[in-house]
Amino acid sequence: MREDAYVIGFDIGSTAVKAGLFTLAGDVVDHWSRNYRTARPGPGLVEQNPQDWLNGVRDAIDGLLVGREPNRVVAVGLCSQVNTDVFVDADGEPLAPAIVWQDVRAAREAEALDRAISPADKQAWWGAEMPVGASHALAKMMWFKKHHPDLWEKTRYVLSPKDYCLLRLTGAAVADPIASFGHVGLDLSYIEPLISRVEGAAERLPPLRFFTDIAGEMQLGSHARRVPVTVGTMDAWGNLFGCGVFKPGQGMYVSGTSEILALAGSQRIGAPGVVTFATVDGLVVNAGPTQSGADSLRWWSNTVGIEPGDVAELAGKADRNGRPVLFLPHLEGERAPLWDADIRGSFIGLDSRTGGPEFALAVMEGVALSARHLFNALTEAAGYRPDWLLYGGGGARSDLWSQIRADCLGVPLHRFSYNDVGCLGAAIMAAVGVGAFSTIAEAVPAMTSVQTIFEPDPKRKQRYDRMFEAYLKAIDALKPLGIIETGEPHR
Amino acid sequence: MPVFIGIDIGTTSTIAVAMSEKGEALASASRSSHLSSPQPGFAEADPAQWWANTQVVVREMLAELPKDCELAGVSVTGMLPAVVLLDKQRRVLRPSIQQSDARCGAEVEAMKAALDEATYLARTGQGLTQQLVAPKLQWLKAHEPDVYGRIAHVFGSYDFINMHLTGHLTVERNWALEAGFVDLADHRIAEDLVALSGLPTEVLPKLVASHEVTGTVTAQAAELTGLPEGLPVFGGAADHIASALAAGLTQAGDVLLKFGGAGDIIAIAGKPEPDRRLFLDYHLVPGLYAPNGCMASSGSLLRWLAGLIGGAESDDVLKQLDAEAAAVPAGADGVRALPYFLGEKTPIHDPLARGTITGLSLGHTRGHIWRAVLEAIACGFRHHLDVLAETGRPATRLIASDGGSRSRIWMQIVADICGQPVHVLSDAFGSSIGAAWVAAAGSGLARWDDVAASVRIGAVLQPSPEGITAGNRIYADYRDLYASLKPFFARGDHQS
Repeated sequence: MREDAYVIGFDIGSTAVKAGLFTLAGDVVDHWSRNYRTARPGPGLVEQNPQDWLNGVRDAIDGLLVGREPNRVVAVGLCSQVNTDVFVDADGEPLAPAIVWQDVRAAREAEALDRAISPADKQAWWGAEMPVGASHALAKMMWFKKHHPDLWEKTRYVLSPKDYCLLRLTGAAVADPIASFGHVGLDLSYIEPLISRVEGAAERLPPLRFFTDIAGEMQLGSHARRVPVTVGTMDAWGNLFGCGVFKPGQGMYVSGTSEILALAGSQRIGAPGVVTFATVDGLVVNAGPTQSGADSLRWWSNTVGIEPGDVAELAGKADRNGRPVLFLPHLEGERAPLWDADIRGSFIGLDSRTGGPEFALAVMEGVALSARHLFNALTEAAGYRPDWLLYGGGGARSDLWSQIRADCLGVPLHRFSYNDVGCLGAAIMAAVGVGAFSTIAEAVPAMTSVQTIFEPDPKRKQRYDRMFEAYLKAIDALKPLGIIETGEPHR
Repeated sequence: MPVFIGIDIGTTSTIAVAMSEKGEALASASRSSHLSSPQPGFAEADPAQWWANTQVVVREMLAELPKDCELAGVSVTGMLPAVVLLDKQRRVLRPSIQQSDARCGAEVEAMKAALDEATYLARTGQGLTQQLVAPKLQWLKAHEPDVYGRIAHVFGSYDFINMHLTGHLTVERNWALEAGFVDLADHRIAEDLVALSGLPTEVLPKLVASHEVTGTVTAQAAELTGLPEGLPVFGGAADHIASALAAGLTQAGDVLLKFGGAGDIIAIAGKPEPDRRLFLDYHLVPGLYAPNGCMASSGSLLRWLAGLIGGAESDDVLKQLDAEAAAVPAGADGVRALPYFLGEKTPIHDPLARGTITGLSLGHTRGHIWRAVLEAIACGFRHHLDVLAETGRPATRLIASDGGSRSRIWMQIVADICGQPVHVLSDAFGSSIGAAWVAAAGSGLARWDDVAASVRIGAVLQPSPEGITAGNRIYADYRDLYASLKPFFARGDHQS
């Protein structure tokens, strides 16, 4: 392998294609990103155009290689949002817009599926009573089959965003067991008794390959060169590696569209509401995503007509010791650890002194409280409380928000200079895939480094202890109301 | 042509109007005034600003008035019961504590522990709430003993302006009634009721009825305002009751919905029928009563929200947000709100309640939030109508007035949620015109019946069957939401 080799890592995220051009030392040579549109054609409906992902990958490669030598690129790796699915025909053409993980159209199907599975089965399959939510691929298949039987007939594969890109770029239909954790068991293969509950699902799922395996070769953008592409996995695991996690005792906090937290352990303990992934190379990863993180901030900035970046600035003007406004960030329900698609966002405790800064601070604090909720469940699942968390993601750029999170969780956050840790994680998997490193455990420490540490302020922690108690009580108080109007079912 | 002057010491502005005997507004002027909230739940104003504003707006209004007008009387109206405190030299001791102020929760609790509320209610017509004046004075005794020790006179906002105009101290009887100091058995101030404030009865000036002459404009006041010296000054009126009069409310079953900075509901009844959830006033028409309620924030909440989500508290922004709300279906796609940003007065009397916006999702826009808050305030109005109906006083005619009544979408929402037609008053000078009518009736130059004849109704918004169905659901959610969060607010869970 040439010493000046580059690897390209992609994160096909919830709002953007992000790509990094890295050296084998993990240095960021260049970065590229492009947002794409997320359509919300009705309440609870969230869709994306798969062509946007593909265009993003092709354009990113050309963008990163302007004035650079294509021959230095030795591998490409991908990770992507998970539980976003696209139904494609035999030619790999999408039959409908991709159904994004935030979409709750399949809530009823998920409920039926969840009810039909016994806790004992869940334990046997996943080693935990993992709930089946509206974003589960099988629930979406049930919905699709029922509402679009003609298109279901034409469906060859149901693919995650990175698998869709792999199919279009390399011709290979693959999936990886980690990204498919909802229907893959501890033995890293599809759970036959689960999949068989939806007739026709089995033949529409691509074969499973390990995330550092080479899926095939792809053309490097508009350049003639072809390079190997690794199978890759879900963004959470890309984040995990890109954050520097590779051994038990380490934890991560990545703030993207949602807040993703993970604790790596060596024992399988588990806890309600969080995912304990199948053991890979002795590593037991407990993880969970909340439903909305930076999304809450973006939504609020749209609502009040300011730039997302200005929310943090506004929040900086609020008194962080003042009387808090409680924000429940459940704008599209909550995932880990509650897994309830039917709760919604709230501002509680508004008074005559609540202004723009107080609302902005409330949004940031509310997201941090939801992360604390998840963190508590993860410490239970992993059986330990980490001394610090490796920290990154687009939502980690704000120092104020980072400090709020550290204060709220009561744990130091170690932040990287490069926030798009998912891209770095994808590049790490690619580097291992082409043999630049023999294992993930060797590659991760070689390619990652911490830049800033946010220490929790014990006094502020007290504020968040009280707010967190209120947060839990408010969820309980509002839950029975069931005011949600999801509107007409999507056609 | 005889002309009557009405002056309104409002929450957000001071207004002067000149009215003909037919009820036409001949000239008017206004100045904004400032309401301050030094702590959450506190609401204070500066009496000196009221008097300074009065001088300016009266002069401006007079300058606009045709020369052939013959001024026949002046009457002042204002929020009630604002608590204005003077020392022996009649100097203002501190900012006025407004009726919407919620600081005296502990003192109200102490009164509840010491008194039988049912007895107190039957005797005074008032429930034991933060609206009463005695607990506010007790709060001052505990927190501002220096101020408390120097209190020589206690009265309201328009009594204070009357003092500047005439040199005499009086207190209009509705102030004393709502303050909780009047015994309905003899309609006089009772010593033992005043004693609940820890102060002697002498701190209250002479009790006067609205249409009684309290004095005439002094030479000094004439100099300052431009009013003629010797012009009769009448007792004045609570602003909501003046509005009710100006809106032509003379029949039992008439209900006025006032969409001002606060939200007022004034019903007309033939008997007092005390109910702890509502306030009780004398109507200006002798022999009638005006059970009424007040929501601490209505228009003020919308202005605040417009500033927050619309970038400015201007009328243009309000119109734009109304247009966006009109494009959102009834029920705001699941967004619900509680308008209790200043706690709430009637009918829940919960100073600890706070504003809430819930049911939010990523697809919701500011138009959804705006609609949800319009609906929430409308639910607050309906809550009062339900209370009136429960106590045998169903509303038979809804009349809407003040700034918010100019919002067509809001009035349609109110009609749908209340399930009744809403008659919107064309006249924009509700309470100041009502005050002018007090002067007209007091001077014997007009009869109370003339008022109803002068009222002009503009739009009448009819509820639609679908609107009523949606409105009932929204209202049920509103009641449920508060019921769910009430213990949360009571424990102070949202505070830290």
